[in-house]
Amino acid sequence: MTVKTDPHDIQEDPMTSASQHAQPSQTGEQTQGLRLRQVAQALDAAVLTGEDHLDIVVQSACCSDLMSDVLAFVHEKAIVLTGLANAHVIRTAEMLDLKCIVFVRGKRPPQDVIDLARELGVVLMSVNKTMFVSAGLLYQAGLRGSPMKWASREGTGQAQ
Amino acid sequence: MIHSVYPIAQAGYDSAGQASADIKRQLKQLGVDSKIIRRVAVACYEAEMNLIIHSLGGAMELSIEDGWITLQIHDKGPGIPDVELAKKEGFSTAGEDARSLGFGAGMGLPNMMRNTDDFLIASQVGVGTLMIMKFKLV
Repeated sequence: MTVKTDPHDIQEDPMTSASQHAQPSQTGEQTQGLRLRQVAQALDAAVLTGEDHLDIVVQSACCSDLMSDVLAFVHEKAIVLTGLANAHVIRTAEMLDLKCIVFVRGKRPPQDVIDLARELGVVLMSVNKTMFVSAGLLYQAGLRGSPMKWASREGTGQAQ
Repeated sequence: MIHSVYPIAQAGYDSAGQASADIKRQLKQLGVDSKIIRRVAVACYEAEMNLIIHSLGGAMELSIEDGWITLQIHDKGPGIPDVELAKKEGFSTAGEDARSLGFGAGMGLPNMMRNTDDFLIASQVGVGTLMIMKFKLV
């Protein structure tokens, strides 16, 4: 399988607005982002719904099984890797305008959840890999961590 | 002026998020700035989940007037014994059913507070909880 990795091949999707994403990642690097099609290829993922939206470009990713943490810390249109496969994940994506959810460890949500995602235009993928390995593959493919703000922890001396 | 009321049932996990999704749609139709919509959506969804997980049933009321979006959330109990403790990150009394759905991380109230321009909570055990979340439109 040939995976396009040349950053010059990647056109910004107007829906995902280049300017919003043109910010340094946690490591201070500028990332070109990946099309969802490339995400699926890098992970060898099954696309459960949203085949029509695979040209959307994403800049970052985050991993969490806690939807409250996703709601708290994800500040841009990122993809979420999760082992949680229920409707709350889709609702969380809807609230944050997230475009893609990747279910790790071979998880697949029930059909009504897939139908909800289809209705809302959220791409769902399922991967037969652990969250750790999936994250590593996406990092290798060029994605970086979602920029996060720890507003309430600032100045408290707590570990970040 | 816009005023909508959304009743939320205790343990209504199946319809969880529908009220917040509808509120988000309304704001989008009105052409509200997407950054504001996102903050309202996050605070609103957390509030809705709180009602489902913790309350004996209640309602969310959306009103928009005079440059402010207001979400008023009230329930029929059981009330929060220590509101200051409930505001702390990581504090949660959510049961296993809520945790298995990805909630109960103790981020609910902190998430609401950090997304609102004006936040008020009052609670009395045995009576109920009232929250008023306000978002400035400009």
